[in-house]
Amino acid sequence: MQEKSLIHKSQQGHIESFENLIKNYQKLAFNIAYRMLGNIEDAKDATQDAFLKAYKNIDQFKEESTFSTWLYKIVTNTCLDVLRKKKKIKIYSYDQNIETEKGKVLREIADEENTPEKIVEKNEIQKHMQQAIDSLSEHHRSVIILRDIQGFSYEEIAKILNCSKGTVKSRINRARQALKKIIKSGELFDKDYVKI
Amino acid sequence: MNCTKIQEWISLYIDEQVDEVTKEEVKKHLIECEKCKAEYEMMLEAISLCKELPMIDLPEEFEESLHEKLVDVQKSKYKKSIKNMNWKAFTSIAAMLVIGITSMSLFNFTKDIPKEEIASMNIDYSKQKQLDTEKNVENEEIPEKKSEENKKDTKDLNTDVKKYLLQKNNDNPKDSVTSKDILEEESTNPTQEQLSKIDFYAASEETLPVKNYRMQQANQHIRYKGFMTINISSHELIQIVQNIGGNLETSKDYNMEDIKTKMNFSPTEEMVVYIPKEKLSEFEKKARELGEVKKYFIENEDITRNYENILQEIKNLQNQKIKLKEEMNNHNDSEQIKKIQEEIKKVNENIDELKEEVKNLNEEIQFCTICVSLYDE
Repeated sequence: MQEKSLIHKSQQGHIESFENLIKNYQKLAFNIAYRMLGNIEDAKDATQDAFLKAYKNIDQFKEESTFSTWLYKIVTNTCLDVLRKKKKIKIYSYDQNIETEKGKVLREIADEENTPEKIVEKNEIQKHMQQAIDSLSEHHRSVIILRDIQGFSYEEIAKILNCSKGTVKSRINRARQALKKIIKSGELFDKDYVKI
Repeated sequence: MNCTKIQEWISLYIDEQVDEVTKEEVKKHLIECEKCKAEYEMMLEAISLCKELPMIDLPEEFEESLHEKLVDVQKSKYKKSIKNMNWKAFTSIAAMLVIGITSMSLFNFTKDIPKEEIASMNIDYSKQKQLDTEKNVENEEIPEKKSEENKKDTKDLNTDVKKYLLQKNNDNPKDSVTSKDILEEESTNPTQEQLSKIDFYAASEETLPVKNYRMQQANQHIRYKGFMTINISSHELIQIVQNIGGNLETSKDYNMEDIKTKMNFSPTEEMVVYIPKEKLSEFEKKARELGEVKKYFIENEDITRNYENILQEIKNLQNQKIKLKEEMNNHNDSEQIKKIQEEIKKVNENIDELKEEVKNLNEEIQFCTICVSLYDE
């Protein structure tokens, strides 16, 4: 009930109401973006862009879905756009391995000593899991993040990704198979870290 | 029950998205089959690794900087609305003035003329109106023509695709389902994907350096996978693959184990790469320029039957859907209708699932999967 009135006020342009409205969802939204894009900077930009889009277009929010689903949908789409643009520019991603005299190092280590990522991802396995997720295709990445990291239901995922439940089922299965294979082959990281 | 089918269900089984019968089948199979049990456990492990990933906090200045941006948006929105409002106010005042003046003058004018003349004026006016609308129709004809031309274009494309698909399915027995049927039922407009597939077929037949290559019939679906051993770094390999538009994603996955055991090989580092089929020779050339290729082998696998089985299954489900819809129309009982609607929903889900499978297979057909082993020397 309270959410309804916040939505109503946001539709009239009231910023504070909009900020209250997204308060409970912004952390999860940011985490979706972080797992999708693999680094905090891009995730912050994408989340904020998505929120601005939501604010501008809140008139178009129909109460067919919950507000949170609508918001996560915008966040996911914004991230997918970012990924597509990145693909076009064809730059190396942060996590691509580069060769040095000492052997293989991770591209991101050099300028990352004190960034929040370093502090957050204390656990090496977690770091390598993110790399494994980064190497999934866009579609597979989004379902793994929504289902296995954030724990959305199949129905919610179908709404967020704007596809049918059948597609979600098939895609989750494919994505898990792919992820499993990456972890098993350890092709993106040293085998010592992940023992399965 | 075969293992491939079970492995398709494992993911849904874990999430309890299968019906009771399937659940029991999978359960039973997992007790009996070591290989599938290992796959199942590995998937559980992968899922739990995902679940262990922590939620991270918002960056410190997140809310502040968002607030600033929101204020900017609001300002520009407000400016716009003011502009709109002024314009609206201006036009409505102007319109009111015009109406006011004309009605007053008309009022004065009609006072001096007899009623019959007013009646004939009205007729004239309606004639004028008719003329106006005729003019409008003339004007509108041009865009209509344009859109007709567009339609013609897409029609041409349609017939091209249909011709292609017809030719593709010429050898098939009449009762078998073809992708043409499915496509026609779903949409009459060909998608870009379908069109590019045609180009791809044309391009691939000449350029494939496949060893046990056989003449590929138009209605065959061949999946290629292979194996390469080379002494370059993973970084160099990534560059080659990216330059020719391949990718490294393990998104289209199937089992490479059989090939590895066949070659009796255990490398130090491995990568699975996906190369567009028509770029295969270019990939080989570039790889040979950079390093020494010890082993190189591409083999093909005919997945036509698999492909057609799925299409057949889709067709069956679509028939089932039609029957269910007919049945629903014959019922008046709301309970029954609800039941049938549920069933239709399930059938739709299955259809979507299978269509996704077809999409995946199409991807696998277009890319060649190569397991590259890198050795240092």
